[in-house]
Amino acid sequence: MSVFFSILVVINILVLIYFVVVNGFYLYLVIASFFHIRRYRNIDRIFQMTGVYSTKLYKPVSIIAPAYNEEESVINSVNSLLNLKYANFEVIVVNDGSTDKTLERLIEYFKLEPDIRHRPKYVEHKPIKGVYTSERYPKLLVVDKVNGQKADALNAGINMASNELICSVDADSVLETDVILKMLRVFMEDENTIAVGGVVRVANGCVFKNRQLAEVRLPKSYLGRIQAVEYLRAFLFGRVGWDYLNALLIISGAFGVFDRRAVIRVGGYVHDTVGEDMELVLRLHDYYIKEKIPYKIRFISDPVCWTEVPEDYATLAKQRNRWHRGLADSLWRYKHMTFNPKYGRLGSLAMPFFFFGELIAPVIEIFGYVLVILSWIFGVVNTTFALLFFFVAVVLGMVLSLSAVLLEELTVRRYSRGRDVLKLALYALLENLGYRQIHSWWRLRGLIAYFKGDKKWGSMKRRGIAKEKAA
Amino acid sequence: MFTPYDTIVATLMSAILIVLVALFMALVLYTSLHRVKLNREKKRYEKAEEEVQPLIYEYLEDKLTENEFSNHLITAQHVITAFRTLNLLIDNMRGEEQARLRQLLAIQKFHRYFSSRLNSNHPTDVAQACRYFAQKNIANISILVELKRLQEHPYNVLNYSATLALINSPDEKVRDEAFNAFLERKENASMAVNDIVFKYCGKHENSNTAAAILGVAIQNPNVPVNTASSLIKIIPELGFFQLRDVLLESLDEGHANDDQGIYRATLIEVLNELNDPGTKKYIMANNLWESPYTLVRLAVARWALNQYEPELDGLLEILSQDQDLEVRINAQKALYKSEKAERIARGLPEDLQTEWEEIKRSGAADVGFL
Repeated sequence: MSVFFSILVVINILVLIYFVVVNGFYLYLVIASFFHIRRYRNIDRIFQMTGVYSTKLYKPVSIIAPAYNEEESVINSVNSLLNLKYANFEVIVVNDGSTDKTLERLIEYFKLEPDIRHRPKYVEHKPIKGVYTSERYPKLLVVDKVNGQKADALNAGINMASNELICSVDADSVLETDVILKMLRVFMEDENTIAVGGVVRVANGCVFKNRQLAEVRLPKSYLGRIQAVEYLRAFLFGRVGWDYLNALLIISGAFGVFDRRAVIRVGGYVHDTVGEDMELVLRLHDYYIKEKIPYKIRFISDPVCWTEVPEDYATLAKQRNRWHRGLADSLWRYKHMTFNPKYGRLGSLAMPFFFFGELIAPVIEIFGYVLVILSWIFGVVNTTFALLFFFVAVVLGMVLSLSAVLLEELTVRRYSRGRDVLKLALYALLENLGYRQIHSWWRLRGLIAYFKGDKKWGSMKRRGIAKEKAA
Repeated sequence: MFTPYDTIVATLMSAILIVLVALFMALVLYTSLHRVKLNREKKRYEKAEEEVQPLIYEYLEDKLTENEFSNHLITAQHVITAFRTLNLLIDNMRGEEQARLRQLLAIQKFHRYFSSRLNSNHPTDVAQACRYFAQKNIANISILVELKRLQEHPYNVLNYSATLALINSPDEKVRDEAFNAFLERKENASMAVNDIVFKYCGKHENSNTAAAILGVAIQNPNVPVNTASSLIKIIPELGFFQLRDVLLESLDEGHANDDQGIYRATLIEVLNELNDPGTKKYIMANNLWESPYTLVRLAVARWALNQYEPELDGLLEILSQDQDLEVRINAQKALYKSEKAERIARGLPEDLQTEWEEIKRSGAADVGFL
């Protein structure tokens, strides 16, 4: 009994240390992000790019939008892409073997005709069935291919692209019209930039007019609002903080700009993972550091991509399960970088944090609940301590979530209505009472599924965003 | 029963909880107050805009003098709003009205405001101030000194902004010095170089003068290779076709620090774009298809694809078997135009035959290259 008691005491101390270290680092990220965003806000306005709509002075961009069963939202999404404010770009929609009418809708709406394009296969992908272009929409190219999942579709897009930069977006996302200009700022600052990520925010509930974002609103559902807070936290202090530390490990698959040559150099996206976005960024880091080539991978908080999020538990659970599997897979593939001084802050800080603070966090958290109960039962901790610790954990979570809302309010301020901000703040509290615990359970299942070898993508029910507000 | 240890821990945890709850409430309070403050500031800006815009039009209609206009700029919001509105109007107007609006930028209120911002800790403020000084003729020595200091700033945005301001100086010596100092910096991004060069060349009424300066910069060994390559690439965009001889000469001589072949590769690409017949002589004279740099061999292959003639069959045969995929594709595509194509292709190694078949299948169809 005394041995068991001692073991429990030791485990309690370890969990406590883990809690303090991880949350302490989150607090550091919040503070660093705040100053980093404020310092460089609106810096893109400094670059008055002359002739940006008519000349070749600036890097051309190929926007690649893989589409699988997106018949509801693909037209709106493609139209919003074609309306981006920039001269030198093309839009490549890759229909990844959709079983619905995605391709038919594209052909009908954009008056597409079959075309012949021969491209060397720089990166591997499943066969292309057809290529379509439109005289009416010269910037649009549609590639129809055999299904191979997202990474495969992106590779097909990379091969078909003609431009120096590629921008990967999800077909159900809506980009703000000036995103390319804002992203290009980073390439203007530093020639060694090979990848830039932007912010992804929740489109559910927003008002779209003429396929452009007209008004930012909160989703109506509980899950939608919780995710609005989550996305703010992940992007406004997670990614910004890591950018500040020059140790960014992930650029969201929903929205990122890459140097095409760099991506081809490392072999494009891999097919055998569900975390292809993080895997690519890690592979870029690994390659460029090994080859000792100067490079930069950045994240900026100004450009925004709006995306539909799942609003039912089943789909959300599958998504988070997949994300966690992707995280596990990427971290395992590049485990040689962890605690490796050759990789600088990436190896000494980012990789360990993501392993201990993100990957095994659901294990620690769920185990922690069980531990507290066991410890209370066996008298390792008394009731007061157990309750206090629980409240500290919950309130700290609330503080971190609320900090994300505060960061939004202090910097980008997309929610014009004060009551929306208040609601967000409320959901920042509610997130930690119930949702967080369920989310940990989903992630834990994802980790278990990873060890079982599950590589499925799953599907998401889509309602289609960017619909006009009813008169 | 509580031990002293339990009491200490419980007290500590309670203290942490109280701090967190206090922090939480402080965050809520701060966010609410901040929103109120920002809403008020937004209203002030809107009010300032409503007041400033009519004043600008009254000035243009000669109903208001510069001094009277300046007297109306009471708050910082008025100054900032006036600056933004003037910039917008200047961009959209031409002729006398544009000139008169530019004159307004010289009023003391703007000058004082943006001079103070040059020493700000916020890069955005400093860059905005540089943007202001880019709009007006800088005569003030202290401003010039500050801008020159900013040209050495490690943050590229400030370097770029300061250069933008200096190249708009009415003093030719200041402009040229700033331009050359910018070009000799190692860390410039190509797009920033393009932008500065485009604007600098736009300041010269006589394009030959600007072209001559660019020509010297291209051959200046102190200008980093990447920057020199950007200068070369921008020549067709600027229409400086009189620089062909400089480009050819540079192709022959190369660049002292061209350790990846970027300089020569860019020269070949631009000369290819210009369809200059003199390019062949220097490619042949320097055996550039045998260059150790992939970029140079690729540029030669692309040039050969564009300028194909039977005399190039020999070098194309070599490039068709290059280790780099893109070089091979371009060379084989060019070789497809040769009468001896099939005979040469039969000499290709077996593992490259598939590529050749693919090239034949594509025929004249566009092949996208990196």
